[in-house]
Amino acid sequence: MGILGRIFGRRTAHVYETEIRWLHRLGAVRAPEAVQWITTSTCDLHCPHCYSHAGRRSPGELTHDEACRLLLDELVALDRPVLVLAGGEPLLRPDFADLVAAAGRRGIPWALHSHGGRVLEQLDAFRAHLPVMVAISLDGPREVHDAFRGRAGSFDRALRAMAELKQIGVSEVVAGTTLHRENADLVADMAPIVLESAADAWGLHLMTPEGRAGEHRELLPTAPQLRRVASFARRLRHSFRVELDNEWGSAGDEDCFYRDASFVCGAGRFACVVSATGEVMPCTTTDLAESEGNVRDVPLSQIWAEGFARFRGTDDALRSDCGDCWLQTRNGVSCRSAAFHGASSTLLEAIR
Amino acid sequence: MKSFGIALLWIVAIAIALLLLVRFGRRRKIVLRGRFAPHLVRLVVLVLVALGASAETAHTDEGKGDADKVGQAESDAPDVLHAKTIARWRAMTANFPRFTRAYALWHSNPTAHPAPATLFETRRAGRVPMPPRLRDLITHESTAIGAGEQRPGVGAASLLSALAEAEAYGLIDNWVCAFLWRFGEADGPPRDPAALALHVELGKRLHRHARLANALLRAKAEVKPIAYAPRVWASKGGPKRVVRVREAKARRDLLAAARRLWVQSDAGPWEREALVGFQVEAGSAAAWVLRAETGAETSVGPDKKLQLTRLDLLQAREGAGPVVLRHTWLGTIRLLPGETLRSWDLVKRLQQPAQEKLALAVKQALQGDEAAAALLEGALPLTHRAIREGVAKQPDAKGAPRLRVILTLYTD
Repeated sequence: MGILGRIFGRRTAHVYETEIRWLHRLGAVRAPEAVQWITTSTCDLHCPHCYSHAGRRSPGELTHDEACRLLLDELVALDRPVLVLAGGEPLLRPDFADLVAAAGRRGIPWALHSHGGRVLEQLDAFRAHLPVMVAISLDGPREVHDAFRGRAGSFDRALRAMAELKQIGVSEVVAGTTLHRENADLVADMAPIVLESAADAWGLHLMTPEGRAGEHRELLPTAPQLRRVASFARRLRHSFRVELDNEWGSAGDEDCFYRDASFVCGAGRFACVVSATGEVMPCTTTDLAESEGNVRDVPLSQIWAEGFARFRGTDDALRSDCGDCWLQTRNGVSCRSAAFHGASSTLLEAIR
Repeated sequence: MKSFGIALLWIVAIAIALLLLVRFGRRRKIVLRGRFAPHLVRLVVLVLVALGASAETAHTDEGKGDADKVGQAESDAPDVLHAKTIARWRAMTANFPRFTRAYALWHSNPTAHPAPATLFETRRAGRVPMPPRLRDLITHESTAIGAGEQRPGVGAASLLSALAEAEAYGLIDNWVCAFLWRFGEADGPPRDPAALALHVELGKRLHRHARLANALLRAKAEVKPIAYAPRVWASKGGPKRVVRVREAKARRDLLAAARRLWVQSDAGPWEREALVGFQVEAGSAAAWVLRAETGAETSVGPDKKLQLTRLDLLQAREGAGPVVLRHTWLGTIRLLPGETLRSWDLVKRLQQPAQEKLALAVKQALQGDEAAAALLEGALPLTHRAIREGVAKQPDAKGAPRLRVILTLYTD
């Protein structure tokens, strides 16, 4: 490793941040690494921690033709980032298999976030163009999961979906748990379930009080819960790939103990989200004030090139901080930073 | 030929620069695409960072606070950090989690999963080159627990040799640290100077092992190609990226990084979590703390406070009076002159009123009382046994899941 390699290794997050800012000043940006598309707001479950109001189909959702023309063709122009299909429940879109096939024809890699309940009916679509990653939601042990999801049998279906997806050759299946007050203390009970499942990794997410979750702020996890989960995850990483996902923000030079790669907030920098109706958002926020435009009006590649200035420059303190999740900070989720610093009474004491 | 090559490179560089200038001149935003442009930009940015012209508000300025330490001699790094160990560690980290995953499953439900001892006989586990002493201990433990008995006690000397052997095999992992440390529970406190010396050494070596494991993890995170792109949304945005660096180069870089990072690394949760604090009572003899971190022996006089990690030892010196320590919640603990206690032994010294308080707190925590659970968590070296017994009696109680998480913070 030469001197540049050493600089990169030691200051990875710093290099990313510098690169984003300098490119922005020069009027350039990297092609995105991933573009998430909220394919539909239709969902057959009614989870209180949903970041949107998923349930019924939204008026004005992108049609199949629009998706191909305004999204998939644009992704080709953007160097084929990973297309992450999310929802709602993406598998409830009647054209799901056609969408996957269309992505396959264009050579676009895809990933999926799903509750897993409909995977088995769509296995042929998966086989035709294997996703690079599938995240299946798992909220707790069977009784907790089913009660929270409002449907008996959804826990078993989620586990079976993971097994079948591995069986057909999906290289990475992730069990995704959104932590809230009711399940944050269940992680030790969940660990054997995840370890025994077909999952390759366990992603621990934080509930964001937006959408339906915004009506259930009482479900936000407490600071002690987050600290315990972080400590638990750090220990479990000796045996399994557990990752604290982006909502947690950076653990600074201790990031390597909680996730595989240094944290950098990707919003508008390495990734963006296209809503069901075509609004281009920095991440999964449902606040339309954050939209950079609609793909029906402006090409996605142009929105990507010209938008998101507040995430790439230094003018907006909240959004220009690559070391934090701006959305969680804005929504006041309890003290995530304390989670990384053990039982010490103050952050300063902890960092030493 | 060489000068021709250099001239050609200059021409290419000027052409790229002109191309970029023309595009910037059109005031159109550019999306960097293709195989080479992003790489070239990364190189330029690295040069800028090297020159100090970097982001103004980088929050994740890794290792900044330790800049002064980096200059310290890397010769401080333990002898075990050498090229062979690094090669073995790389092989181990690829294989060992398969075993620890199976171990964790067995531990969660011994009747439903194969015992770790039997795993050695399967083809899959056969790929894990388990150090023999560690393997014996794992067998020993699983046989006892399988028979419904407690984990057997193992002396410090045996644990030290198992640890040294594991390190020689490249098995440098916090799991090993916790696994060996847990054998101390059924073993008693040191009763003579020779045993004390072994316990002091064990604490130091376990602490060093945890530091080594953390330094290696930090080093592993550092060694990656400069074109490495950030992962968006962590495990939500795409596949895990495999860092491909040429094997020999990776080993060399890992070794250099680990030796440097050793200086900045601490023992992580072994230093920061499951601590317990006391105040030395007025009129008590001074308490002595034998620190695993530094090997230093510190005297703490009456009315002064002390804090113990799981690896420290607490001592009352011969010739002085008894040591009386006060815990704010659980009352006093008494050490007779000449006694040395480990973290595991503290719980045995609690007085009857403290035992009653503990029983009540566990009962309340099992019913879901958050404040009681917080009290228990704040004094794990004194409460772990009561928590474990309570959870074993009422595994389905409302508060049991939280207590199971809390217990791992002491035992893992």
